[in-house]
Amino acid sequence: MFKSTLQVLLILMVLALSSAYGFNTDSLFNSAGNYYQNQDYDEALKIYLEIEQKSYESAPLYFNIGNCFFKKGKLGYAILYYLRAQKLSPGDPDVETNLEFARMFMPTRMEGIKINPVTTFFDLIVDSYTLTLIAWAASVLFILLMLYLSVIMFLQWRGLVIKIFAYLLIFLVFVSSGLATYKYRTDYMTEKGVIVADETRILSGPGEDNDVEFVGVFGLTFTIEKETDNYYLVLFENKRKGWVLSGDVEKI
Amino acid sequence: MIRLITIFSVLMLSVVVSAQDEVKIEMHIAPDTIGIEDQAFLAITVTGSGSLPEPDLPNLSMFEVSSQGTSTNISIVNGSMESTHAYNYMLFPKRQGTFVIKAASIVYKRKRYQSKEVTLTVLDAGIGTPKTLEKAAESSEGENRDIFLLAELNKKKVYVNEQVTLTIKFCHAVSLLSQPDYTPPQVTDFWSDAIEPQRSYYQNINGRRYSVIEINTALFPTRSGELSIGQAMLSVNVQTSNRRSRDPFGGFGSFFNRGQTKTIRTQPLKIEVLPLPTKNKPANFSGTVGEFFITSSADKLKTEVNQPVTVTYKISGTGNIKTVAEPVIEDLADFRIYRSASSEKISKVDMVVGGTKIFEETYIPKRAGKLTIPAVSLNYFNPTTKKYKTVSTKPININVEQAALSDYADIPVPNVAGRVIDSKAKDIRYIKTKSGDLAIKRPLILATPLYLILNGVPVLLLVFVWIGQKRREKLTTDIGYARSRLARKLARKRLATARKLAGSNQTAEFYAEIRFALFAYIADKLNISPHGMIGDQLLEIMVNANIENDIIDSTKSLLRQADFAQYSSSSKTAENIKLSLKSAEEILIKLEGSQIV
Repeated sequence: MFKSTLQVLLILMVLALSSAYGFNTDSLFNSAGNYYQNQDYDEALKIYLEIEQKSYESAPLYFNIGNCFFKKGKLGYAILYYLRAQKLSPGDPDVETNLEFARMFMPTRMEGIKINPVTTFFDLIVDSYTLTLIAWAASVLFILLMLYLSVIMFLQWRGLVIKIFAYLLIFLVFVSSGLATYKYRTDYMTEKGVIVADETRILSGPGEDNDVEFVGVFGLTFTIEKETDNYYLVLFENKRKGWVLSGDVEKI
Repeated sequence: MIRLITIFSVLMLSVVVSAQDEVKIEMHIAPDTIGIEDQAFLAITVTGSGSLPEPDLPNLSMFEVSSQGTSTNISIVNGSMESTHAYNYMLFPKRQGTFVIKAASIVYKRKRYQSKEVTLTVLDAGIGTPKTLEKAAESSEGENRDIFLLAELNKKKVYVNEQVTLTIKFCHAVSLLSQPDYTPPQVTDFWSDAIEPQRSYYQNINGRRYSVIEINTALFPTRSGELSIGQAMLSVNVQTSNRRSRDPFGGFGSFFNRGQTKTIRTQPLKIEVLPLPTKNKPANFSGTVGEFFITSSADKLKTEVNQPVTVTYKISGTGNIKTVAEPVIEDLADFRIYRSASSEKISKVDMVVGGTKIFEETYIPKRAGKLTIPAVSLNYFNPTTKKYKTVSTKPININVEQAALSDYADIPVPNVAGRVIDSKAKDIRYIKTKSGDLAIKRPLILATPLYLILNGVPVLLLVFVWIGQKRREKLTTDIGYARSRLARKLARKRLATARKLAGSNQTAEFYAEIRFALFAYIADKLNISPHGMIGDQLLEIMVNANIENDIIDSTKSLLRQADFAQYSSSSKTAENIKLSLKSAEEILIKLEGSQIV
């Protein structure tokens, strides 16, 4: 009796606290929007970043932070936050447009050539959806398959149509699970980053005394292959590789 | 994956290269005048992309020809690969005269490329030897030195940043017993660039045959005035000369000769460097000296707004290519301009330094229409004509169309701090006024317990249904299994019947039911028929089925009671019946707990 009362009290406390926080972040979000409207981008950015520092996230929050950085001329950071927004809300036309617009200011682009038709096809599908959505789709199909198999086993259904439907469900489960795994591998198992400094030197090794391979500019994205104390070994989209000072880049 | 990209890149490169095939063949001879006992150095260079064949040599029947090997130099300029193959020969004249060496040629892709002709004059012995060499060979005692080092400049007076060639000649008439240790001269007031390869040949000097190694360096003075070139130094272990030896065993000298280390130096040189004339000096002159020309080309002449056009500016010619400044590109109202890349390729033809420098600029059109990238000029001073000259590219006309993407929010005054952006360009889309699903960062759905449980429960359901189905199938197909599974249930049913009979004082029927319950249970468990079975048989079966002794004893006792009651029912009290029922229940519980096989 005492235990169940305590549980109810705890749930009520959590709900009260979460609603209080929700109200607070929403009002902060709105006030930042007002500052932005009045072209006080510094103050707007300060508030948005304050919300982010409280471990809150949403695609609109990252999008608005990106806009503030863009207005302040920090295009590397603008691209970083647009990419973070894109990760949470792929296919959002506002995010796509602003990201492309910010990238137009990049002095150089390093776009890789996509040769593998399988990964290109997978990218085409998964780029438009979040991992959560794909994972839920795979999960629903899997549950449907399990229930369907249970029913046909229990009721001993037989027949070609029953079989075809079962194979179709199995196929869909395989495809959706494959896509979820691919999305997980590309977006979460592989750490990605972006150059936020205006220019940074890409070195042949982790240290200032190494040769400069080339100069990277803001907005260039890469995958992180290795980390040392102050340097990342990065692989750019055009497959050029080198070490970059970790202070000049941010993880997406 | 990387291999595929590499193969693709190479294929693409080869396509680009084949589209830009250009083969050049050149032939040089040095010196152009020699004595009959001297040699001339003939070099044929073939430059181009792709796999180039060996050149066809001209008629050289008036000389003894000795191959000095080949060298290859590969360079990649602006993504295209170019290789230079040098074929070197030493010519030993057979007679005096002036010989015209016809053009060397090469056939590449069904097309013949030819070099220019060169002329070599062969004089009487010693006549072709330069006076400086003859003088340097003489010692203070009037005899010829065994080894000596000579430094020469090809000009005595040059302009700032004009090439002067320093030639160091190491001549030796005795065998070298060690590798020469050479220290080049100090050239602090010059840009220097080694001209390779070193040349090796024989020359008759003052009637003595010397082996000559020639090292050439291109120097570009960095300031005006009388500049000095320091001493070059060379140390080498040489065979001592035995010409004046009176040793009777001198004939073995060369065998036992350990040699002598000699250090030789050149004389310091002076050169007068003139400042560049101030008269007619262009306002934006950047110090380029030599003879150059400039061309430009765009990667496309038709584009859309905000789509980049890359313009390549190529500066080629003779002179110090490293110091050629990039062309001045003025800010344009219609374009945003970014530097993409630059590269240079240095060539040394006939001891003259030159080459190509390439600058790439990215022009991003800000508006639609017929836009013009204006001509770009390059100023340089030509030391041959002693005049300044300006060369220019041609203007490039670009047809710019409106970009298809035009759905940017229509808000005014795009403003990007620190970046130049045209007022006609569109701005970013406005911020989002709704916070969306603003929440504390959540872990990945794949790792949450809810997701795992939700996916796990249907699996358990399927397993449960499968097990149930299998059990059902076995019950219908395996009679022994079905009897075994139902034995307990039936036995309990029979005991319940017995209990009812006990309540109605039907003692004989009660014991008959008890007896049958036990017989049927064991028979069901072992899948045998209970009909016609007597008590001793049942006990034997129980012993064979490894049933514990106390159960067997209890069963034996109960069966005895049942037999006794059936034939003398009146003697059994209600208490005895109750005990018998309890005993039967206990036996069944114990049998249920033990393995019957």
